[in-house]
Amino acid sequence: MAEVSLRQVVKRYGGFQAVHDFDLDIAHEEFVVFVGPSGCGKSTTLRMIAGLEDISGGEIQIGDRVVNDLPPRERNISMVFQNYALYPHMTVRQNQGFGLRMAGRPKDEIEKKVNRASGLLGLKDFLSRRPAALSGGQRQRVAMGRAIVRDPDVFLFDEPLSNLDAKLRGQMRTEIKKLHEKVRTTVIYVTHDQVEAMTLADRIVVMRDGRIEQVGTPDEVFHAPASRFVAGFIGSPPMNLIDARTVASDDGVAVSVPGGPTLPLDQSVFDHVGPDRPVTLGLRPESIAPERMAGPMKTPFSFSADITLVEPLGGEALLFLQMGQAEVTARVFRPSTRLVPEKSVPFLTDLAEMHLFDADTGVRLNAKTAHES
Amino acid sequence: MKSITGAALWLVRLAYLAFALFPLFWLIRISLTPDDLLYSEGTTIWPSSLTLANFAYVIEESPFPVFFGNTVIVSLGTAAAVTVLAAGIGYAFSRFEFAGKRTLMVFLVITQLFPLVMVITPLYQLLAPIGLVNTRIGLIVVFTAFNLPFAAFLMHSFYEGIPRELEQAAMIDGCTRFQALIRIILPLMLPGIGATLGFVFTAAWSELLFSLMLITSETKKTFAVGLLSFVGKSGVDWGQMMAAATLALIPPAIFFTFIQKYLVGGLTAGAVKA
Ligand SMILES: Nc1ncnc2c1ncn2[C@@H]1O[C@H](COP(=O)(O)OP(=O)(O)OP(=O)(O)O)[C@@H](O)[C@H]1O
Ligand SMILES: [Mg+2]
Repeated sequence: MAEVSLRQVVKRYGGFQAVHDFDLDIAHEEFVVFVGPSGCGKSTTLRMIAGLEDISGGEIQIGDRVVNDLPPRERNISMVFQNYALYPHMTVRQNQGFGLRMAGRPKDEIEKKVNRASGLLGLKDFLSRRPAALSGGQRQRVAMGRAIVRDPDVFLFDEPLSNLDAKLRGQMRTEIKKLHEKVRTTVIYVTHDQVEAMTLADRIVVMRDGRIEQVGTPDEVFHAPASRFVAGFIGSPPMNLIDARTVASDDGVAVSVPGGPTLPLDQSVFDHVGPDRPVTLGLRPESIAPERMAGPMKTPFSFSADITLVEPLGGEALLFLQMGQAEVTARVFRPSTRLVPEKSVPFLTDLAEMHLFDADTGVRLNAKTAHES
Repeated sequence: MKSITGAALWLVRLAYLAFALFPLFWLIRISLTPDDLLYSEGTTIWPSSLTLANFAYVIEESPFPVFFGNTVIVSLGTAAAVTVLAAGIGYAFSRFEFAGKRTLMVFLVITQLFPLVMVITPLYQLLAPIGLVNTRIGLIVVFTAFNLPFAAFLMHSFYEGIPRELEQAAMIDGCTRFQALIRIILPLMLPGIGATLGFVFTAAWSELLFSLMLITSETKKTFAVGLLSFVGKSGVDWGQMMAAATLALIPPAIFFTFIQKYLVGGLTAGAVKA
């Protein structure tokens, strides 16, 4: 059993604070992904959990032990590094067995465990090769094998796939997911790739400037982003974030896009939002479509806009349209007719999937979301 | 175009090789030339007859074998001492942060700037009271002191070439820092250790200045000092001197043959994504 919990964890490098009051509870066998832009403190946090970096404040617990002052070797963790960090003078077999050898396990047990991990990862044919004689993808597998073999309480991954090409990355992503099904262990996985985060995580921790911006399931961070930052970070293409203003309307309050449409606010969701307030309106590209090819919507709202550019991507197309002064992206699946730049096209968007953020703080204003109801 | 560039490159390489090897060739040529032909034939590429007399004299009659022995002891001792110390210092500089680290490194560089002649007298006065003048140990101590800064920098740069993640992975895999050093880092440091050994051995092997000043007794002289004994009042015995010098080339050659496989880089290849 290995829950991991971080209490008010702080990391300072001299005068610079890299991690601020980090609070998180990770359940046994949970797959948690830290995601965020470069320099937001993901690696630092992970390395503090590993014991490779001192903790400037707070407490880290693995299982029922406070590990603040334990060296890495006593934390019963394994880690896969971005650059793999394979021991170059050892064969694939020796690399994988090294941890068990250090632990003084009997030879036949090491042999058995290395064989099992190599089987899982398709490394059987390379066991007596040195890392230099392996491809990037194979090295990556050896690094994972080395981590698995030791049966740790917690797996730590620091951007394990970022050195692979796009195709291999997708493949390995699936394999890691399958592997976690087979080798159930608590996993903490760092990436700056939101697709990896969405596909792998039980829960995502979105970080920014050394702070947690939001913790939630992939669904939650996608459908109910806690802030404008999360909204812009999760999802590809990113959510349209439009500077707008609330205005009084006949049946309550509406959002007015400068030079563009005025969208009514659902009073059951936005009853706390008064008129005449600067806001950021958030619309996912997926929830905007030309009227003639729009799918079913909960609360459709129609407006007219100019299509300025079309990017066909095969099964889908990206449309760039002018909504008042704002340039907005729409993502259309299986477009039924050829799309071309065009003036005054009727569009639909789903008000039930509308997001509203405070213009200054970026904090989410939706009291509840269509997704939750 | 390509072949012209290739040919030009080869020409440059050959020219360099000739430049580097000619002194060696001349050394051997003179050591094999009979004394009476040395001046009478003038400067020819090859003498009309050869002799081993110079070598025979150096080995059998001169005190050179003793000088060689001394030089081997001093050079090996220095190389070993410097390498062990530099391995520790380089590691500390590369992997640890400590107060005054930068200052210390700058200080080490500065020590390399002073001409060595400056310190001979103070050094003599320092060593004399503790009985290290005119001893081989004394030479080893002095050579070690003078070679250590550069060797430490050399080692430091080799450590810097080894990704920190390797020892971190080892420490997660159950090693203490020391175990990680011994089991992971040291095997990868062999090229660095080889380079340092080679560099220091050669430097100590051909050192003249301090050997000349600190060694007075005939039985403790090193060969570089010994070579000077061929410069007599009546002139220089070139043949014998060159024979001794040729023999002196052998130990470093053997030494380098020994360590050359470690000098070849690329041992860390495959540790990390290039
Ligand atoms: N040894 C250090 N000394 C000083 N500052 C550091 C040190 N290590 C990291 N930092 C700083 O701490 C912050 C967080 O770094 P960290 O490596 O955790 O970022 P990251 O989220 O992993 O980014 P990336 O996606 O680029 O790997 C950065 O601003 C970085 O410059
Ligand atoms: Mg990082």
